[in-house]
Amino acid sequence: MKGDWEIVVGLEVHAQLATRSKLFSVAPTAEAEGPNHAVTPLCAGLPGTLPRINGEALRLAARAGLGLGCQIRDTLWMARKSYFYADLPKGYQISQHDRPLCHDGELHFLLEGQPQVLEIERIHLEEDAGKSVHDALPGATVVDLNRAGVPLIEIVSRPGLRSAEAAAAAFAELRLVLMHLGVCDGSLESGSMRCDANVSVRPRGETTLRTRCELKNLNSLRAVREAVSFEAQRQRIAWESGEGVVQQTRLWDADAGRTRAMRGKEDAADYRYMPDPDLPPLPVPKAWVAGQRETLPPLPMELRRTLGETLGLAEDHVALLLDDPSLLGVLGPRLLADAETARSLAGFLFGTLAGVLRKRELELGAVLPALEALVAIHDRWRAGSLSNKMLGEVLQAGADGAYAIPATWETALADAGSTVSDASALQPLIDGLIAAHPAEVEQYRSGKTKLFGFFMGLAMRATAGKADAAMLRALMQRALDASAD
Amino acid sequence: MSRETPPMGVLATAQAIARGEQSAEAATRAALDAADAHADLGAFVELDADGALETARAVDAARARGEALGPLAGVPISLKDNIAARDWALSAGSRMLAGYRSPFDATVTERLRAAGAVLLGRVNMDEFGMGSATTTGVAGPARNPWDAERVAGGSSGGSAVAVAIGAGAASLGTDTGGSVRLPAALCGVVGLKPTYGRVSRYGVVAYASSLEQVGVLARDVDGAAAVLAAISGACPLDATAAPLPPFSPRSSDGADAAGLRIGVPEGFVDKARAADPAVAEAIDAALAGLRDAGATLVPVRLEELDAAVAAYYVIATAEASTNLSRYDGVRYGHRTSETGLGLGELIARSRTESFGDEVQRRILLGTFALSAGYHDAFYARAGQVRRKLANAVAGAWDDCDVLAMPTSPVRAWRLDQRFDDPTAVYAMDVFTVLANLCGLPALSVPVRSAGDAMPIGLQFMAPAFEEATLVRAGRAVQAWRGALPMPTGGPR
Amino acid sequence: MTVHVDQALLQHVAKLARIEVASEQAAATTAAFAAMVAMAERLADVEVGDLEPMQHPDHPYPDARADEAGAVLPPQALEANAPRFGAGGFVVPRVVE
Repeated sequence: MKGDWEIVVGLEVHAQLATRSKLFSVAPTAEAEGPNHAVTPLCAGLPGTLPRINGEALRLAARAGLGLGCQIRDTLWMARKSYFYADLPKGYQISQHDRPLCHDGELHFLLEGQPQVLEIERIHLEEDAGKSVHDALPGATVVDLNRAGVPLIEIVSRPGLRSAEAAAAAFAELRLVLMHLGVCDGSLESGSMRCDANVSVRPRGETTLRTRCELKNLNSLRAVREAVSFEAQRQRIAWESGEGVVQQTRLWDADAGRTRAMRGKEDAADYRYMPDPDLPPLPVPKAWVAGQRETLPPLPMELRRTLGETLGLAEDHVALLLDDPSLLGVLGPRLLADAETARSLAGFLFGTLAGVLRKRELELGAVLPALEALVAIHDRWRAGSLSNKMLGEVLQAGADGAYAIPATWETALADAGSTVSDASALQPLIDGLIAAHPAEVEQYRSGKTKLFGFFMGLAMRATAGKADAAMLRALMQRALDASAD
Repeated sequence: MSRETPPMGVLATAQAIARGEQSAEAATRAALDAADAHADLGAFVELDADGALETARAVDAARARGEALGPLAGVPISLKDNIAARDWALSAGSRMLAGYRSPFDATVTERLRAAGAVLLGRVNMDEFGMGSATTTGVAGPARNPWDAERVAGGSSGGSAVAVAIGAGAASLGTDTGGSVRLPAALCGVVGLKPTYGRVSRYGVVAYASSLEQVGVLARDVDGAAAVLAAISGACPLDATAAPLPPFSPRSSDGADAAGLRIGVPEGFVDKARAADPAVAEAIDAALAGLRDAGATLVPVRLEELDAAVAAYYVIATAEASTNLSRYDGVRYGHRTSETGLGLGELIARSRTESFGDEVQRRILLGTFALSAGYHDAFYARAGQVRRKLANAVAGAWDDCDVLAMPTSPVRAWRLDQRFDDPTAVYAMDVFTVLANLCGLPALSVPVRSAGDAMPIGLQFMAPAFEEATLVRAGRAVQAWRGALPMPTGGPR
Repeated sequence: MTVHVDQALLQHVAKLARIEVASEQAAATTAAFAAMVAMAERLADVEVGDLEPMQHPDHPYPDARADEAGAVLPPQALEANAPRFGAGGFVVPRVVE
């Protein structure tokens, strides 16, 4: 921030755990066909219903903690957090209170290429509330409980960020970490991750924290950056004008580009936390935690080093690979096999293939189900048994077909056949070309070696692009040089 | 209202039906007739005569076809109105749940059906189980079958009355602080509260989750044990249900008192003596009878009994204050008819209109005990007292197999008796809350009344999952005591 | 801890609990509430040292459940018990956030 003021930001990030069923009920977490179509009696808080914790949610929450270097508590303690709201079916949220599952970790991230560390205070497991829909009926709010009970972790950082850019970068990295851990799908559009930011400002040099405001509804990296930036300016002006800052919850209004105080939150909250008597403490054995730690995948900071520094992939290719863990899942072993293959494959996917897809307004993600088939195409091309022209045709045929299905690409590849790599077939063609262009041969021999491309182009055209380029080049070279004698 | 022959208990009914000596339909009709004949006692909130007879005829048909019958085939059993049965109304005695129908069965309901039991209907209770007399429910009071001007005890008063009058061989109640045992004692039937976790709570309208269990009221100890065997066992829907096989009563547990070490906590009987000497005399006589039959009476010191009531009410109301937060008039239950209210007002108005006074008071106490500034001194401290009591009781098992004490300090009090403050009624739970706080099984068995006809119960507590020991102690009392008469009715 | 129970405390607690205490009942409710709080204050007389509060009986409990999706209620079953239902959900007065 300009002038002598410093921004102080801590993040509270909610991430939906990638489970099949909800945290305490068997209701599916997948997109339902309509409002209130993924609701069990428990989700609706019907009398007599009881929670039973989903072991996979516990496992994913622990892995999130381990991936962020947290301590994992040896017992899971769930607590009731009481407040009344239309979309909170039981009148309390099952969450954790003073004994979160994970605590004291850190997030490593890059800011303008420089390594940074954000301390993580805690990660706790909790259930989501339902959704209040305000525009379905005039003058009324309609409650949809499909989301009620969906498993979340809340990751709370210490107020260790000092700029809006740092806040956005930390959130972005946290998203990648959770995605690579397989904890959360990382989708910001569908609300799988939601970011709140606690923002305060203080004169530079001041060591105590001033009153903070909690910003809600920061649903994109841009929103984090812009909201924190706006709020910091607002607070600075409030302090400078002598008005001061009141602790409150504020909503980011992306359209208006400003934060505004939330209504209905003015009560000083007294959540009356208590251990949930329906959920006795559950042991989290140390050996189990150790097993989870041993099976953690490589995380983005390490992957960046491996892909960028060790394999030498382009920076934008690294970023694209990190943004989709499923890509790495399939490509990982191939990329790591040797650096040249890795660069070639990245160039193929993010250059050649992405270009073909872009013309059809498709994203790389659309063809991911067929990734292995695409890798096979790359390998054929790289081995020389598919020419550039043939590759282009194969990719276009695939992209115009049922591109999400591997068979589409396999068929396109099979239809392309193979390059002509039979020397006995290519040699007569080359001999004919040399005989037909004596002037050019003469010029080549007197040093105009650029004409090599001229001969290659003629040969390729003559073979309808199907010649094995490497073989053709070798034969052509030999023929041109040989006729010099 | 006396009868020539007392109605048959659970085992006798099941046996008679299995042998073809009686049809399930006849047993069911007899139970329904008894309910109708004593409708003025307020045992039932709703009878499902059609459903019950349909089930009974299905049992008879299955038997006629030679099919294997469940252990409770044809046995008529009623459910406390806080235990869900699919498509039945479920009110928990509250105006809040007027018109509510459960779309699912409680686990215990499902298990009763699987065992072949005939479900008679819903029986009366205190609102959300909050009471010791079955007087706070929306259906009005249940009346004591021995004297209709007296209380039946609560909160499972409807269950106790139904069993006492022969409207079913057994009834499922719930016991949060004595709600099965107290009415059983006051109405002269057997009440069994299992170990916490022995029976699934899924489908039971929650009052205080860490304290309550579904319990059984029956005419005799073996009847209660047979029903417990049918409803107990691990449940995938309840994280507090112990991962253990169902309770299995053993005939080898014996019926005699010989060798049984009965711990008698010092001062407990005297506490009853101060409140109602007849209770103390009856308990003394029963213990002497058991000693004569070969039991050893072991004096035991258990302090802080008064604090147990305070700890119980703080913990129970704290849990209740959150358990009852779901009643907000949004998804089901009563919603105020007033218009123009905001959401917050709508919730508060709906709750205030439909919760009774006692429920409101308990929600207030529980909310207070959890609120900022008071949480540690009340809720947390109650948990510490609970731990201390549990440790003390655990220490007693070195010297005895069961603890014995009165179930209630007094016999059934008059319905018109006024209590100056709510805590005067809470004192009736002084002997029963201990088992709930510790999560231990307890049994109330009727003993002979020393003075007038009003029943008195002797209570046993046993170590966790030692219901079999309770059954043995209960059988010993029955052997010493002999058969009981049917309720005499009394002035109305 | 001795708590001074007055109508202000009662109203504070009642607001948290979403219970309305009408002014004509406030005195009687406060008296009953005070008696309950006084009973609860007896807890202070028990020497508890640093005992860990007991929140559940110390019994065996089941492990976590497997992550398997199961049956849900048809929305009509929710509607059947709902005071007001429309547009596929539970209808409440308009809430402004």
